[in-house]
Amino acid sequence: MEHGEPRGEPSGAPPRKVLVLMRKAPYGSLYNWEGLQVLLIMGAYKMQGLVDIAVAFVEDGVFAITQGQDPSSLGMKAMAKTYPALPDFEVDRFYVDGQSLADRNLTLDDLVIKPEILDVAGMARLLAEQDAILPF
Amino acid sequence: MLFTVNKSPYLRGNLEGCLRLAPAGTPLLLYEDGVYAAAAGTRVEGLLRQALASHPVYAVEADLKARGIARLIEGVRVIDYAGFVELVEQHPVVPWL
Repeated sequence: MEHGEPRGEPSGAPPRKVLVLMRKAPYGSLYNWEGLQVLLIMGAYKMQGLVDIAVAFVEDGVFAITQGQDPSSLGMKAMAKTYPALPDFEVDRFYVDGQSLADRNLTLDDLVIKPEILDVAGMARLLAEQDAILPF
Repeated sequence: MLFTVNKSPYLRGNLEGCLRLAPAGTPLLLYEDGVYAAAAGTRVEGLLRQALASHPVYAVEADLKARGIARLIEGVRVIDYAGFVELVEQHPVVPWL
């Protein structure tokens, strides 16, 4: 192996399950943007079989994937546009907390992607099965 | 006095705390994540309706547009940055960060 090259398949170990947990609204802080960067990087690790990556949107994190965002007057890029492209980066398991959607008067039709809606028990199961949870 | 709220109404009880203490009649300005409170049909709609009963409530247009918020609670006044500046000129500001 060349010096500095990323390491390939670990010695037969199963991929570690990693969940990126989106909790914050997209433009009021940088959390959401940073979570997206992590997802794009994680895709590379998934290609090597090192991780199994999923994304869950809870609380104000659901605002990250609503349709109709136009932050041009804030001088920012529309964050929501990146999510539909994530499957190209090997990130294709999306979940959303149904209660968080309902609290905000949102349905799947309001979103730019079609995540699987989970109830409280489903969210708890998802969190419980992870090796690592990265909250943003 | 102008109370300005820039945090999401779903977090920290921020808007709730502001409404508890802002004297009746003082204007309330929602900007940045604060504008999520102006969206119709949400869990916090009651909170904003309560605000509208005793305060003029303003929301910054650029922040609404950025977040794709189209359906607003009736009575919320949408303003641009010039309107924001005008309000700040007319009132001592209480930033409810």
